[in-house]
Amino acid sequence: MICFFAIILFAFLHLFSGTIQISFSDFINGLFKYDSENVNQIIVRNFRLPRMMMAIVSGAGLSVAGLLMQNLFNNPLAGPNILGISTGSSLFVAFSIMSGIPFFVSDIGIIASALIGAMLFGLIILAFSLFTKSHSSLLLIGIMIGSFSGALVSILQSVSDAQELKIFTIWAMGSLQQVEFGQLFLIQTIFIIGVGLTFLLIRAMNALVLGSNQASLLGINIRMVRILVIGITSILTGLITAFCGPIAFVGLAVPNLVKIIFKTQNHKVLILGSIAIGAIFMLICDIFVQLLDKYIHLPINAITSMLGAPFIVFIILKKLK
Amino acid sequence: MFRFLVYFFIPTVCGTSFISCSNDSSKQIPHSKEKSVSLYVKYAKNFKIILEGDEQILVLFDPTSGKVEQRFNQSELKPEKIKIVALSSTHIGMIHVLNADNLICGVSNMIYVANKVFKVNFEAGLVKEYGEENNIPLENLVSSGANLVLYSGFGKEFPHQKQLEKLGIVCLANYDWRENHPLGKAEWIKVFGFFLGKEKEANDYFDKIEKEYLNLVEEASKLKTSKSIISGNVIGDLWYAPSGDSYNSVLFRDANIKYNYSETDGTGSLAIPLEQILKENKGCAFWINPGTETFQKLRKMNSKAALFNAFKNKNVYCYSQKGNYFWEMSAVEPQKVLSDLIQITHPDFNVHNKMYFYSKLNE
Repeated sequence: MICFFAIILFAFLHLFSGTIQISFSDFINGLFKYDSENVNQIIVRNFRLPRMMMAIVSGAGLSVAGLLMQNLFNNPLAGPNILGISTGSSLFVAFSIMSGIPFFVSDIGIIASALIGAMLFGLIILAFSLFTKSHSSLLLIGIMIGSFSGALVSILQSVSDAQELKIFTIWAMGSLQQVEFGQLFLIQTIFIIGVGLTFLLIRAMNALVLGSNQASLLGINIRMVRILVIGITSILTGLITAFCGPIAFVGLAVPNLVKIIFKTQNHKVLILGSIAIGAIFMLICDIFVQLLDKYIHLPINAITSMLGAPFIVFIILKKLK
Repeated sequence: MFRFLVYFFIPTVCGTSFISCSNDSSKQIPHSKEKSVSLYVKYAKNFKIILEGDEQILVLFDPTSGKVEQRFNQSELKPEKIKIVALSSTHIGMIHVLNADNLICGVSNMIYVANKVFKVNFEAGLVKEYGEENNIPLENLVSSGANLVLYSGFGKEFPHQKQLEKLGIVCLANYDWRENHPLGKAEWIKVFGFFLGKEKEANDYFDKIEKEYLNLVEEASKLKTSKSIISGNVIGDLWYAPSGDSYNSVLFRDANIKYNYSETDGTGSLAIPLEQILKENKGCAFWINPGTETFQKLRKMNSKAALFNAFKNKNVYCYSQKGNYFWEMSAVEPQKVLSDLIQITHPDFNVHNKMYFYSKLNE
């Protein structure tokens, strides 16, 4: 409960951060009594609200996806990037930008490409998962696919012109500002479906903590769980990468932080905790970005990496002890 | 004899002294400074043509450091034997104006070329493509037969410059794109005149367009209420708009247009958060240079475009419909760019009744 109150608190703080000073009445009117000629209300509805919602969705979605990955592979350093799904998204976005075809260079084209890339690479990993029972092997295959698609991205970058390179580089920095108010319904629907499916896996996730063999003995269909985990991860990662670009470290760091805070292996608590802590984490990072915007524009990835990377080092050192 | 002194010699000396006194001498020129005289460069800051004794010398400056980057003695050039690889659109425009199109044997990429002569020459195999400046194989340039390579300077040498110079190929860094005054940019035609042995044509051309430009500035200053504009577009999370001392800002000022960032410092672009750009420019009457040619594409590029009144009222103008032609010719025809901007923003200006580069976005 505390966490969810904290989400509401940070969401309000986020709405009130920003370059322009906006009064409380303009905020309320911007949400409930919208006047399309009032600039402040336009800013609230078209800039601040979508950005805040996207911070919550991306933080929560990536954290849940990361939690699923870490449980499936029994590895605290697994994350949505590990199976190459994010890189697959990036590859398709790189293709679309470098193609020079106007539709694909547009916002809608990039979103579509990111979604298609994530789903396709998710399907590739799913296909491989049917041929191998070993989690380590699947992890390695995912890493190799990620490396391969990363190499293709490098080739595309080397042959692109300055403008295309700039568009791709800026996209790769990540952004919570590309979402429109009208897209929020679709985003939230897909997010709720993805997270909702996760709750169906609570029993399986709890059993997997004991290991695959023990989980099998408890009647868990490991293959089906694997398929569902990869599918849900693809949906959530694809959704967020499509609208925000690749966001680093959230899916890796937050699940570990949740385990430290809640000190439990009960995945009902961990999933809810990941949603809450992930959302708060992204809101805090984006508040930093907004506060510094007057002086310097920092990409959201820079902040998540600056906070996430030291934490991961801490986890590794803790594991070594 | 006395009359010869009065009517010829004294005015010549006085005129030469006037030119040397009126030019900025703040840049470092290492050779015979006390003997050199700066010739007829009024607005451009990144080059000078000086006279050392009987020798005309072209001096190019690095725009960032102000230091001399290259020097060329005119006596060492052989204009009649010049073959050029021109790696930027503005080079093509300036050479075209001097009627020297056939001297160009190579360009960067034909998709960026509007000039019809080049297209014909390309079909005939007389012009070849060499790719991006930083990625041209050395052998391709050497086998082109060119002895002059024009490239956009970035403060460093052209790739393989030393090897090319040993093979007799001159690499000339063009800094016209770093000039922030439209006439300064156009004045680079004198550099081309210098190399092609067409100084008189270049000077005459520049004098003509300078006069037209300054006449337009004066006419614009007399026009009634000027409209406000917003310029630029979103890249990522920021809006990039021209800074107060940039090329575009100078044009806006000369066209008597209200532009919210005309008093800012800098010659490049301002990176402005989206909330701020909307707050400060929502009510602007016109949107200039969004970087696309249709409203549909603009909506796709910038999801917030429809929030601006200029977009709602369909008052968005750009050169994109004549993109390649704009990039080739706008540098050397700044008076036409200025005329377009005045026409767009001042309904009471109707002298030419013709738009040269700009047009309203299509649906």
